Amino acid sequence: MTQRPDGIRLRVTILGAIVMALFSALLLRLYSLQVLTHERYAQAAERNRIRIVPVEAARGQILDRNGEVLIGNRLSYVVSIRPDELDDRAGVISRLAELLAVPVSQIEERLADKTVLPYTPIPIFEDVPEDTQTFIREHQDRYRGVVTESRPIRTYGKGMLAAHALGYVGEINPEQLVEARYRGFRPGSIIGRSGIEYAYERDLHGQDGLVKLVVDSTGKVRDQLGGREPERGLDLTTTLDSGIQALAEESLRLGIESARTIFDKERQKKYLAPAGGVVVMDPRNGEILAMASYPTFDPSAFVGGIPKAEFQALATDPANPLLNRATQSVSPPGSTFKIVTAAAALQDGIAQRNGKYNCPGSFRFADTTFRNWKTSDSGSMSIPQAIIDSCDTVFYGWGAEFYRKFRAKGGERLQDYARDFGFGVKSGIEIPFESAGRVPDEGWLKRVNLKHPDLFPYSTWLPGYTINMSIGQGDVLATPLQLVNSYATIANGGTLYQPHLGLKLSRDGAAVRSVSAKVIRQLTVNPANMDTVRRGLEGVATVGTARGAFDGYPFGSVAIASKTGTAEIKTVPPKQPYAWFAAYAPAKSPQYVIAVMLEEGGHGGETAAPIARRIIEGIFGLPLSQITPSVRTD
Amino acid sequence: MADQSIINSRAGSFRVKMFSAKAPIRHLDLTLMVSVLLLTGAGNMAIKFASAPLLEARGADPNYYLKRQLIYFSLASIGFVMSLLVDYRQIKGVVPVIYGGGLLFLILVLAPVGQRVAGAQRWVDLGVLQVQPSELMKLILIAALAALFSRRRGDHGPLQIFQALLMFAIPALLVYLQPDLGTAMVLGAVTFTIMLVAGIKIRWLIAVLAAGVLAMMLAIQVGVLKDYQVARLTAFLDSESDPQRTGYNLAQSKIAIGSGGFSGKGLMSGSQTNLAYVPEQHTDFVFTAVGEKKGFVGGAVLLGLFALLLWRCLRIALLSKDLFGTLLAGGVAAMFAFQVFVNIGMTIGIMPITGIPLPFVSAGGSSLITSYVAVGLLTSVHMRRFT
Repeated sequence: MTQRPDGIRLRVTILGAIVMALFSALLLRLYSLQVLTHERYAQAAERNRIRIVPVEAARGQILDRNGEVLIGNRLSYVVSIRPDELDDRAGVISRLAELLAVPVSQIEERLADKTVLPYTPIPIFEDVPEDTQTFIREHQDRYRGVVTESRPIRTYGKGMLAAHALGYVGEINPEQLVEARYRGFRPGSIIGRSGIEYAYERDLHGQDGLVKLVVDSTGKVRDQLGGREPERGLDLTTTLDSGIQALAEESLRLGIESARTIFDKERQKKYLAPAGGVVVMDPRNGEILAMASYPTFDPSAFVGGIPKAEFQALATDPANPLLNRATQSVSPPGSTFKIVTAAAALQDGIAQRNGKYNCPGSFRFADTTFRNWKTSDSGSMSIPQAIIDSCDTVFYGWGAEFYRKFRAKGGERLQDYARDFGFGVKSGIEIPFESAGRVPDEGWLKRVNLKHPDLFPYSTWLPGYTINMSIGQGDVLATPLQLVNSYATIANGGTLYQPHLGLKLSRDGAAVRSVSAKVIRQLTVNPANMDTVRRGLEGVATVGTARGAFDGYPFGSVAIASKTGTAEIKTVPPKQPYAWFAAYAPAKSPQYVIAVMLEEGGHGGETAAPIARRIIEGIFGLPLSQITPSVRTD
Repeated sequence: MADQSIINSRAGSFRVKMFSAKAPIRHLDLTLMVSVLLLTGAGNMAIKFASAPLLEARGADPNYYLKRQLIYFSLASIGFVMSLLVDYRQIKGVVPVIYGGGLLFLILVLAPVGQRVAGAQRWVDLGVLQVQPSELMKLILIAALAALFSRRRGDHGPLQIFQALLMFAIPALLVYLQPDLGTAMVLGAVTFTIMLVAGIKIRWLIAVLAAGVLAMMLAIQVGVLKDYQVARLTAFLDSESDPQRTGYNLAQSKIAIGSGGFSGKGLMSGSQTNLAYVPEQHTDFVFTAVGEKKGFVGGAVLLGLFALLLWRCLRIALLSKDLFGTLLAGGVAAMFAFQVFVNIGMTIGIMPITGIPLPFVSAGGSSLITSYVAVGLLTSVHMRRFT
């Protein structure tokens, strides 16, 4: 030790102390990590390890009332990309673009989508053929990062049948994700966007499953830890009858095509007839048997995400094919509304069942002249005859009486009856976006006058308003669904049902829940008065305004009750009239009620009635008549 | 090897004096050797269980890294025996040669013959074995500095300090250029410790320390340190702020160790390690496997073995017959202590992330061989303390 300078022992001891201090620091830190905050890190390790991947549940099937599948499901192969596994990004994308025959830019666009959950593959292409997905699986060396999965998608076995009533599906959007209606849904969920698909979302949707995957740091799946099987949505049997639905759609289309051939002398051009709607209902329970809307759309275009341009084209099409004319198109119901006026006048004592009423060419009230659709004087007639001939001047007289009653503080009785028949409020059918129509009254007039003084300059209810309303003109607005429901009420003797499209929900054929008929109200109109109205309706097709359209119809086989209507649309510039027709059959024991409406389709007896005739013939197995323009009546 | 005749002549006298009480062979430090063997065994276990799951998942031999490490161990054992056979006092004479050779080796690495691994050039391929000269340079610098400070008794003035700093700076710079900041830091720690033990006045030591800190700050300021190096050095201060990038390794490493808990998840378990969330888990981050699978208990036992090793190193420093031996032992102790502290420290977030292996435990040949040669040198000092 002689060579060592003094204090070497001290220096080595200092070194030892430093080492001890460093080791103590390590030990303390280890204790803190592994014992004191262990729980936090244990959870972090678990989060690292487990990746929860949702498994989409198939939506329930939608069936017609006879069990025919209207909307089903099939497995579709989706090609997705896991961006973090794309080693050879450019190469894989170009190979994939070639395989799928899409431009590289489209793949890049999808990859840039920020709405996809982290760690979930980004869908690039939906519904590829099975051999394409097999090819990708077998050539993973050249498609690293590309995964294929199967997911259930909607199939439309009957094509575009009942597209408006059934609706279409699409991916949930970020705004909807925060709505209470979609609580528990995840991004990427497929939801119903319209029609029954929307209305029965909770039942049809099913319960998504999930798998817990053990993944390593490169995202490679090492193991699967079970999870939860997806639970398919409930199957919905609808009230629709696919046979009647197809018949209604075909008849509507043929009727519109026929209307477009008619020359409108007043406006010196053919009827545009751009759109129309038909509803067929069972008057005994409110079940909708058919609901047709023209023009229509293909719901399968929405499956797997509709391209933006295609959706824009649908949404901005002036003919508005997505609009359900049966529940969303409103217009004055014209003379079809006369059943309300007649029933109201009878019930309120303004008209007498055995009374005779003059039908002159025009009606004067307080310096204003209201014209009948026929200019000649038809003389005196009974109430049923006034309905058969659709004599406006008879109804004007009753309208004037209702106005006088209102002036005498007797209330807005005609409006009360109109609402009793289901006008002016939504019918309550399950499908969304239904229009309420309108029953105009003084309260409404004051509100719109305050809001739009330029359009509604008067705030005082004038006699002409009630008089026009008595023949279904002026400010009264109705949907085909409301009209069919009001005629159902006449047909069944006074019960207003809530129309419905759902019949029962089931799983694997076993009923889970059924949708029962719901009565909204029992009308106060007594049976004798109802019968008077019905007698009028029963003559319309045989000898009245629809006799031209029903020329040669076998009334002996299936008698019908019906009413024509022609709505004047007083817009600037004025539109061509909207054609209406309502009917029920068989006349004495009604099983079917039909309403037909053609936008700018001319006169009810002329264009709408032939459509209803053909539908009735089809339902009852009668030989189908050709749809040809008929005699122009009201 | 430096000089075959030296070994031969020493071997001759070795045999003659083998049975005398002061014969070197009777003064092997068994405790030191046991601690080193236990550390190596623990390391082999850690390497196996850290690498097998990933190797298996890739369809490779799950014992690939373990087998390689066992080959390195046999080479390291030869290195150990050879270095204890050398009388450490003979090294003094050849210091200029080995120091020059070491520098040449380092330059060779930077030249095109060097192999790039993970963006750094650290290796020289010698055909049979890839050698990391920076590992050997640590020992060479220890020997060179020990020789420098043992040449003269008593006070060491500024001239010698300057000389020492220069001897440190040249290899440190070459190592840093690879770039291997970690080893450059080890060289610094070794240099400082040898100065401390050699009896440099405290005020000079403080001056050297201050100059070092200043140089580091300056380096960061003027951008000598690359951005990623600064980021790695500072990531441990706030690891969770940016877990996907710079702090990712650290965050995953802490999750692995923290989730190990008090007694660990078991050798076969531990998702962080088995699913490869921790990078470099059988090399630089091997301690995370120990921490996750064997918990606080396993980590403490490993630290205990290192403490045992360091105690023996410092004991040898005190027992050494001459100052050269003391400084050699002190330098080796500093090398081990610094590497253990920085390596384990980085896995638990108290030291910056630098590529420093954990001696005896991390997979890798150069590190293992260097460590065993170092222990051989210590043994040489220990066993010759009476001759």
